[in-house]
Amino acid sequence: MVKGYYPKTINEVLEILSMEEEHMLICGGSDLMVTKKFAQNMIFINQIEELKEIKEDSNKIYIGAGCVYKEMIDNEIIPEVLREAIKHIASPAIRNIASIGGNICNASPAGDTLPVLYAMDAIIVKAFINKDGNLYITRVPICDFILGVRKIALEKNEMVIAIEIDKESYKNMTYSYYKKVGGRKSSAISKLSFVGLMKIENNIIKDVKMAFGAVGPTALRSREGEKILIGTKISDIEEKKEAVINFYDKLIIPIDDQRSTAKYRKKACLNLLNDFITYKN
Amino acid sequence: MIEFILNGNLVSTNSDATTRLLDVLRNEFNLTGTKEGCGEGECGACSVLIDGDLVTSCITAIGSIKGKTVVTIEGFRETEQYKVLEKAFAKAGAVQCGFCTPGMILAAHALLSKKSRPTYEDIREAISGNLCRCTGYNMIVDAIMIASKEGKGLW
Repeated sequence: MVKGYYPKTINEVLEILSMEEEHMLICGGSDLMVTKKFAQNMIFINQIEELKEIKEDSNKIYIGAGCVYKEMIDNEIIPEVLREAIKHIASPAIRNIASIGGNICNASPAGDTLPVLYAMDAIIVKAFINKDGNLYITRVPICDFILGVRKIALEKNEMVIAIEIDKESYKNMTYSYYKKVGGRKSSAISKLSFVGLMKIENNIIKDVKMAFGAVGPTALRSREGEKILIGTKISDIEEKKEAVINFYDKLIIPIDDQRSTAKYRKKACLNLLNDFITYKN
Repeated sequence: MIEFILNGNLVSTNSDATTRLLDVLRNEFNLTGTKEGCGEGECGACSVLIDGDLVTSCITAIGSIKGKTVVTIEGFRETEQYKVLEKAFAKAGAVQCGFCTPGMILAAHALLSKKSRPTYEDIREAISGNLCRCTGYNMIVDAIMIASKEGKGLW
């Protein structure tokens, strides 16, 4: 028989986690309840108010790991491009229970918030209690937290408590771009997705961030590829375009599965990339 | 033991914490208006309201609703809003086999509770997680639009 725990605070969760037994955290459960792979001890964290905070200071925003999509769509602190991605996830009923922390920790190649979080260099905030009972908070960039398909850098005594995003990473961008390609508008797992953020000053690309979803074990982002564009005059984009597309053509190695083919995924990714970089011309 | 409010009454279950809310509703409380379609949260036939929000009960663990309020189609039937929706669905011919109907009705109510005068686009968005293989959706959309007009002041 599965044992359920119902902590009310982050501290209570960490105390349970510091015990030896096998356990698993469950928030909305919209992924876990489909796979049905449970631990002997299940810790329900969907009613912890501390995990539902969304706040900001002058430099960064803080999103509690237990925030559900519905709350995020309606909150203007959340970056617009992230809200846009969330609007295309699943259906209203699932967006009422599914959490951002769950999407990250599930580490599905098709997790739709992931490419956006990669593009914004999101930081994963983790907490644990050590043997002396002291609370520790650690921060790790999302690209170092997600290690592969359903693999994350999280120790047994740790939990993800929040996501932090530096405002520099998305504010003052000239434009943002998000496209998801799925079988239908709603309740569709992505065939692929693409997110781009572009900063143009005096007709020169000052910064660009691009990430692809569902075309590799993790979201795909390359600073090297972005650097090809940085410093380019808008009037010279056509000349740079080929180099950028060739670069990502080599980098993106999708697979065939029940949702799409490698060939389609690659072609659609490159078309979206092309559309993004020539968007404001 | 997990306690929650079901259709206005405080109830409890001794089921495992990971038991699906859907199974608890149908098997323990004989509330069979909540249907199982896909079992993966993609068809909306098992939709119920939890603390007023639409949720698919097939992917909701009973542990996650401890202390919460659940309303199924049987509980919603007792409301004035239901009567308006029932008439509107009949008027528009929005029911054929009926399997999706409880979920559609609750999805409609969840929408109208937030936005009493929705656009057609709002309605399509609100029922986007509810599949119907009979009507082709247009009649359901029409029914919800009729309900929004007939149910003045109720939502």
